[in-house]
Amino acid sequence: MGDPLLLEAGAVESVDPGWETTLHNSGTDLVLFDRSTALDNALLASPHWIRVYRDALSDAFVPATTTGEALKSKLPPQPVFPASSSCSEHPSATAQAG
Amino acid sequence: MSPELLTRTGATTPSAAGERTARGRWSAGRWWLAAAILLSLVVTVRDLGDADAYWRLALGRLITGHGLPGTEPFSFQAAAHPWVAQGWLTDVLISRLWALGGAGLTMLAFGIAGSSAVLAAALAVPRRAAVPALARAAAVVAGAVVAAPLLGVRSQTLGVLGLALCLLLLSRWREGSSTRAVWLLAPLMLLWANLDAGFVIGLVAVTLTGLAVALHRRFVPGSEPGARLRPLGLALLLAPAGIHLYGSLGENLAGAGLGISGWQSPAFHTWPMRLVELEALTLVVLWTAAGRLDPVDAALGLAALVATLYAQGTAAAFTIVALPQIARYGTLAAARYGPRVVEALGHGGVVVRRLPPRPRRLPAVALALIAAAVAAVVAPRLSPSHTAGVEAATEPVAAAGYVAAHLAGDRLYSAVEWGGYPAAIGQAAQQRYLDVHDLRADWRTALREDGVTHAVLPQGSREVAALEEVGWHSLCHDAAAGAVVIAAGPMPAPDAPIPDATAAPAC
Repeated sequence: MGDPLLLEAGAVESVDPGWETTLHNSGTDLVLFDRSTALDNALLASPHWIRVYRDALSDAFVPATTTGEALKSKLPPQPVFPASSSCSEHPSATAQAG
Repeated sequence: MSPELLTRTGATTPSAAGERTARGRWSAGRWWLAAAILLSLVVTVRDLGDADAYWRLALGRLITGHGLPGTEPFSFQAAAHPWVAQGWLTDVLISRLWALGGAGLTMLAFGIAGSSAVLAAALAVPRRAAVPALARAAAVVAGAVVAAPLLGVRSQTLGVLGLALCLLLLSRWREGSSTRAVWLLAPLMLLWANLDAGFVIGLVAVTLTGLAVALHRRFVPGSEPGARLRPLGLALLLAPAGIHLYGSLGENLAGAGLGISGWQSPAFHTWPMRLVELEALTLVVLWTAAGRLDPVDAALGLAALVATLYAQGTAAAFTIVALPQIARYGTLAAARYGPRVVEALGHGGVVVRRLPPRPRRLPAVALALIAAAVAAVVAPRLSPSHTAGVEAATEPVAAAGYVAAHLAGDRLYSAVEWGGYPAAIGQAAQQRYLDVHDLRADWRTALREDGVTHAVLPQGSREVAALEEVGWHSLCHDAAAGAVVIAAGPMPAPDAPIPDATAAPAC
C-alpha cells in the first residue's frame, strides 16, 4: 500500500498526535482492532468513540456522532459466546499486545 | 616469489627490519597512536544529549552536599524504594567537573576518557603479536567511531575505560612482562565498581581469562607464563552498596523487558548498531582468516558479543574487547594472505622501490596540524553558547521553569528521557510508568491513584494524544525542546474538537 499509507497506519496504531484526525479524514466508519493495545485503550477511554463489539481478541468502535449512532443501530447486538468458543473471554485466548 | 616491497632509504627492508632499534619502533608507533587518539576526540567528545546526564548531575550535586540518599530523591514513586547507588562516584565527578568548567569541561573530560579507553584497548594487543603501528592506529580510529555513539557524559564511558585498562593488565600479565599487573586489578576494580555498574563485565573478563589460561596450561604444559589471579571480590565489597550492588544489577538484568533500551537486544536498523554488527562480522572473518585463534580472545570476544546481543548497552564494551583483536588478527591475516594477493595481482617479482628519506620533523608537523584541525572542530562544541543551545533543544528547560514557578510540589508525570533512569525507582514503579507510557489497560487508573494531575511531555508523544482525548489541556508550550505542560480537565463532550497542544502560550 506504499510507505506513506503504511506510516500513516503506524501513526494511528501508535496513537501519535493526529491519530484521530487521520481516522476522521479517512472517513472511517468503524475501527476493528486488537484488544489491549495502545490504540484500543485510547479508543476505550475516549468520549469520541463508542464500543459496539468485543470478543477475546478484538474490539470494534464507531464514532460518537450521528453517523456512528446510525451505524450502531444497524449492527446486530453484542453476541454472547459460549465458554468453549475461541471468542469467549477466556484469559488464555486473550490477544497479546502489539 | 616475494612480494613487492616499499621501503624508505636506509629504513624498512626485510633485512633491515631486525636492525631497527626498539626506540625507533616506539617512536613511529607513538606518532601514529597520538594522531589516532587526537582524531578520535572528534567523535568521543559528545554533546550532552544523553537522557541520564542531567539526572546524574543533579544526583552528584545532592551527594556532594548531603551524602548518599537512601531513596531516589527525584521521584515520588521511589520514596519507599531503597536506592542502590550504582555509579555514584561518576555522579560526583560530573558535578565537580561542572562546577569547575561547566558543560564544556565535562564533555571534554568524558571525551578524553572515551579516547583513553580506545588507546588502552589498542595497547592491550600482545607485544609479541608485532602489530604494525599503523594497524594499531587504524584500529583506534575505527574503534572510536563504532563506540562513540554509546559514549559521552555517562557512567558507561568510564566503564569502557575500566574494561580497556582491565584488558591491558590481563594482556601484560599473560605475556609475563609484568606479574605485578595483576595486583593493579584490585584497585582498578574497586574504583570501577563505584564508577559504573559495568564493572561486572570486568569480573567476567578476569574470570574467563583465568579459566582459559588455566585450561590451556592444564592441557598444553608450559604454554603460559605468569602468576595466579588474585581474588578481587573483597575489593568490590568496598562500594557503598556492598553486596546489595549485585542484587540491584540482577534486578536490572531481570528488567530487560521493562522498556529500558540499553537492556534490550540491539536495534540493528539504527546506524550505531549496524556499525557494531559490521565490527562483529569483521572480527569473526579475521579470526578465520588469521588461521589461529587465542582461546582467551575467543572466550572474551564471544562473551562480549553474547552480552551485546542480550543488552545493547554493552555494545561499547564489545567494541573495546574487539579493538585489540581486530588489530592482532588483521595483522595475522594480512601476513597470511597479503603475499598471495600481491602475487595474484601480478606483482610477484621482487621489486624494491626506494622512497626519498622522510623529513625528520614531518611527524611532528603532521601531528600539530591534526591537533589544530581537531581543536577547530571540537572547541566550538564546548562553548557555553553551544552547550546552552543543546540543553534547551534536548531538555525541557522552559517547561521546567514553568513547573518550578507554578506547580512546585505537585506530582507530575514526565517522559523517562526527562525524568531520570527508571531502573533507579524499582521495578514496581517502573511498571507503573510503563502502564501510562504504553497506554496499557489501566493507564488512567495509574494516574488517578497516584494523584497525578499535570505532565511534562514531548509534544509528539502518544501520552499527549491520549490525555487530550480525555480532557487534559495544554498550559504552555516549550517550542525549543518540543515539550508541553498539560493539566487534567473535565471529560470533553463527544463532539468537542481535539485541542492542539502546541497552540498554548510559551512556557
